[in-house]
Amino acid sequence: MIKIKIEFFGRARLIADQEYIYIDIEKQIMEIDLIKIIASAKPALLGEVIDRKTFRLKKSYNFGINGIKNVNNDIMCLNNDDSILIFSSQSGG
Amino acid sequence: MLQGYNNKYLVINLNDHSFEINKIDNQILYDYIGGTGLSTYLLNKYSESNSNPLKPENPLIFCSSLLTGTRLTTTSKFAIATKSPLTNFIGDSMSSSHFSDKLKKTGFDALVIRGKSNKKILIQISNSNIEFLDASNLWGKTTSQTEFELKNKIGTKFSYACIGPAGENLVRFAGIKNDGGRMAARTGVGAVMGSKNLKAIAVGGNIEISIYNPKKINSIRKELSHKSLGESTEKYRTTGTTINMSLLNRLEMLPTNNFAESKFAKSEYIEGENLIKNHFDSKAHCANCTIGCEKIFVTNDNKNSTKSRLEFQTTASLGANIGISNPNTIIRAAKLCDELGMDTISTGVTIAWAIEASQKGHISNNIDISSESKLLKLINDIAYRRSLGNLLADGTKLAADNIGKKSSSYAMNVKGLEIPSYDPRNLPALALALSVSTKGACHNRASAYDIDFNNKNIYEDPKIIAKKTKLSEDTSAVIDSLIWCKFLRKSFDDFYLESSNIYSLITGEDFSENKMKLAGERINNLKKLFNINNGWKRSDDSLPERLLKNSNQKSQIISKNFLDSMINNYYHFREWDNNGNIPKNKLEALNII
Repeated sequence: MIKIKIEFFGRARLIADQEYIYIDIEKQIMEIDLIKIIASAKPALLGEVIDRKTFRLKKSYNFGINGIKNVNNDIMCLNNDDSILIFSSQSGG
Repeated sequence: MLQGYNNKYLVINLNDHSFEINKIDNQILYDYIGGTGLSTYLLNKYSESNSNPLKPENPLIFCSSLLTGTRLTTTSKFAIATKSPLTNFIGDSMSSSHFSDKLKKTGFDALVIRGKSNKKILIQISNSNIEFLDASNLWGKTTSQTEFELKNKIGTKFSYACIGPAGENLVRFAGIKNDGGRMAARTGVGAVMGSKNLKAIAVGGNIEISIYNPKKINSIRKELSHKSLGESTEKYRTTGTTINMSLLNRLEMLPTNNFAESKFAKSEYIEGENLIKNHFDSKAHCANCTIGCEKIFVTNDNKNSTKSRLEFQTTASLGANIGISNPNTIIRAAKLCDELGMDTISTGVTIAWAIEASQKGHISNNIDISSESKLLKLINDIAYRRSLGNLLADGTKLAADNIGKKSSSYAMNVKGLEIPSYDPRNLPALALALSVSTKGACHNRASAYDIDFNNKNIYEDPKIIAKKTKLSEDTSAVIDSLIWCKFLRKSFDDFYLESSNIYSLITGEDFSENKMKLAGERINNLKKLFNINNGWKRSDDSLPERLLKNSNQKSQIISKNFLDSMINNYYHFREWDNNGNIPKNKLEALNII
């Protein structure tokens, strides 16, 4: 098991009412399983940031690993102390 | 005659308070669409090369567009074009809301203002009736005072665009304010208006525009309004853009202390999440907008309560970039800029430059903005050109040129226009777009940060970045010419297909996607041609030395060589020569000459 940080930005932070959380996961994990763990830790995100049916991020949000790099793979390979950033997919402003 | 347009424009000569009405050929409307495209065409038509932007010969052009007045969501927008007193190149700026609809309903697609009045005036236009009214009693008044008095004097059936004291005093980054909360803020369009002794424009038309297929347009209007309330606009609708700061700070892309750093230690106090929790007051919409991105914030200290619209660029430029972490101070500073009619980005970046110049001993003034009152005084001094404010009112480029001492190396502008608050050092598409943009450092003429945020895998490929940036710039020109709000852009499934279909349904003339794409390319080429005719040279397409040399970041992507490589590729995709000039055959192919 490894420990990673989940960081929330914008509306996701307001809904989670927290800037970040730490979760313990397997080093290799399916994206859907990771999101289920996040949803379990922060149920308020369900329906708002996380799609209730698919357990994917809603179109309004992006995932980034240690920055803004998009997560494209269903299977993620993470390291201890990695950060997952959840932020708006709308970059304008 | 094309349906959806008035097919004519008004030319006002302020030298003798005369006017003429000119027809617009269909071909011009096909080629330039409206908005920023048509205003660029008219600017080229009515400008003299190498003219002084603050002299009477510089025209000031207001343009509505095809979509204005159709009630399609987010289309109540207008464009302004002139020669910028900040850059000496093309200055174009956009604003929105009722003024655009009422301008179009006067019966004109554009308003070209030439010359200079010998007394302070305002222009009142209603249904092809033009009056020149005395504005001496309005001179010196703030933007909200001016609008308030005009509503009392002329009435609420009109909409007003006006300048504040900054425009009157020819502050080179003065804007033009309209409809209470909106401003065409960038490139100093307000200074040009002030140079003409023109305080305000009142428009109150009610001429309806004919639409070829109103039934289908109405159906599209409903569908698009529905889409605009979907996931692709959630941020704009719910939190607004102030939340950009927390992410950019986390990514070390938040310009701080005059771009010397990319992370602000006290950002948490002024991040959108904190503003929403502790300062949110209300939300506002432009006319005919279903998104409603405007968020109004209110102070919460024991001083006079102040409300101001805030968005990310304002909170960053008047916050992190000048080391301010008190949200109440930012709200008051933003409000003051609005009242004085001054661009918040240029104001903040210019103050940041002055602080550094003071610290380095390059100017003798000791700049102290440690208290709110001192910051507000400095902003007032700029607007009224008092003491140091007189130097700063010319913007960072001219101010640095004026004092020398290598202060231009930390004057954070491109072509004279101050850089918005995205740190381009690790955003390569944005770095390229800011460098080559014809109006200088504008983040909105290519929206290139969106390329960076969604294509991390292309970061080290200058060719792909250049190609994507060129295409994004052309799409932006079309968006700004039709005119849609850019916050709607991701609500389209196929932007060009849907927009060209709408064009055809309004005008009754077939307008293919390819014609629309070509129009975007043509508009950007004509903007570039304007700059070439006004002395542009390749070295103008660059970034300040600080962004290319100094880096506190471990993995800065942008270097001088990398930027040059992107620029070379960009010229290649534009089919320009190696020096960035437009070959004659390219201009002919685009029907520009």
